[in-house]
Formats: sequence, C-alpha cells, structure tokens
Amino acid sequence: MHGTMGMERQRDEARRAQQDFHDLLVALLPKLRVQALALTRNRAAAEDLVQDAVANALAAQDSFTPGTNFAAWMHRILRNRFISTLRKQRETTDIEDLPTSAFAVGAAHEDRMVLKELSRALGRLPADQREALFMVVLQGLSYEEVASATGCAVGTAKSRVFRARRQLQAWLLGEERPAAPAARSAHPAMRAMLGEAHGGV
Amino acid sequence: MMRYAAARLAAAYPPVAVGAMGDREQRRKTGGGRQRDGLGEDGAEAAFDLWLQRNLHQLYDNVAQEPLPPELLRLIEEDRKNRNKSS
Repeated sequence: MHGTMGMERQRDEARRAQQDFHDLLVALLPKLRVQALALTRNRAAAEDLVQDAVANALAAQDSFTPGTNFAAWMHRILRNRFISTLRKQRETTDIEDLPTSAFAVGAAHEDRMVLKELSRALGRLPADQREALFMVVLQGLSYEEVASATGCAVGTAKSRVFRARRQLQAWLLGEERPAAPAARSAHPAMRAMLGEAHGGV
Repeated sequence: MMRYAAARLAAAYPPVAVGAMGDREQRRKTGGGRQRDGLGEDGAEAAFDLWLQRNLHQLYDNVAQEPLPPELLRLIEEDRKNRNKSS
C-alpha cells in the first residue's frame, strides 16, 4: 500500500517537474533570443541557434535538477550549441541583421544614429565580452551565473563585462582604446601626482 | 562616425561626455588626471554604464517582445505532451 502510494507520489513529482521545465523554457525564450543575437549577430542564425538549443535542452531535460538555476543551465546549452555549430562560420556583423525595429520608429533621427553606432561597436567587441555584457545587462544574470553558464571563473566574468564597458566607452568617444587601467584605478592623489610629473616635463 | 556618438553622448548625458571627454582632453594637454568639472573618472564610467544599459535595452528589448516563433512553441508543447503521455 505504502509502496503504491510512494510510486504515485514519485510519478506526480516527476510530472510536476516536467511541467515546470517546459514552463521555465517558454518563459526564458525571449531572453534566449536576445542572447542568441548577442552571440551570432545575425537574426536568422540566432533563430536557428535558439531552435537547436531548445531541441538539445528538451533532449537533455532529465539532466536538469529541479530547483537549480534554470537560466544558467539553459544559457550553457545555448552557448555550447553556438560553439559547436556557429563559431566556425564567418561572423556576420551586417547592420541589417540587427533589430531594425529599434532603429526604425520611436526614436529621433539622432538617437537612431547613436543606436546604430552602439550596435556597430557591439559588433567589434570580442564575442566572449559581448556575451558576458548581455548576460549581465540585459538578462540580469549575476557574475556567478555568467561564470557558471560560460565555464569561467567569476573574476573572469567580471573582467569581461568591465572590459566590454570600457572598450565601448572608448569607441563611442572616438578613441581606439580605453584609458590605461593604472590611470583609471589610481587614487586621485596619485593621479594628481602623475599629472604634475607629466605636466612638468 | 564614432564622433557622432560622442556628440550625442554629450547631449544625452552631459556629465558623462563632459566628464569623460574633458578628462581625456585635459590629460592630453597636461598629462594629468585632474577633473575639469569635478566629476571623477569613476563617476564618468558609472554614468556611461547607465547610458549603455538604457541604450542596450532600447536596442534589444524589441527582440525580446517579438512574438515567439510558432514552430518553437510547437516543439516544446509536443515534447510536453509526449512526456505527459509516457509518465
């Protein structure tokens, strides 16, 4: 009797976990599509990537532990799929492949120009930096989750996001490289001293 | 072209651009790191990061709001049905 009830309970739990899995997957799809675009920089390739990643996730759903971080698990699958299928292809950075709706309406001409420049600058970033930046800024993942999804150390995840931000800032200000880390992080008094030393030359 | 963004950055976020560009300009002239407008480089970076966040959302939120491809939803729902049948 107890055995039968136990088995039924187990079956119910398994059914609930599967239900949750599919619901979690559907809820995450919009973010996955953005992340796929960050990786591929191409709308058609991004759609293919999401489709393939979803197929992989469905096939591997028994390996997901309910209650653990689904977003990190799914981003890892998306990333692995990208690496295995798309990285060998020539990167496409055609501006026409980017979300044209952002450029088309709802923004003044000048704002659209800025968005285009930002988009172009994003395309120049190394893929690992762009990926980490999108995960943190657009997906709201923590550095720990980024590290888990991309298989790197937390410090590396932080560094990638930091370097992406500073490089974009430099490019959008018309400079090729960000300010030297030493100059950026130095204490103001140290910077002032350095300034006086250089100024005196 | 990037200069255009710099000009727009200045218009959109005066403290960002004035701070960042003024800082860089001044460093070139004097070799120093003193701020012309009192905004530290860290402040300029934080302001740029906010600007970046806002504009990244403007660029990509539309993608996130687009209708999901029906074939993708079908793939998930079929798997859900098959799993429910077999369990």
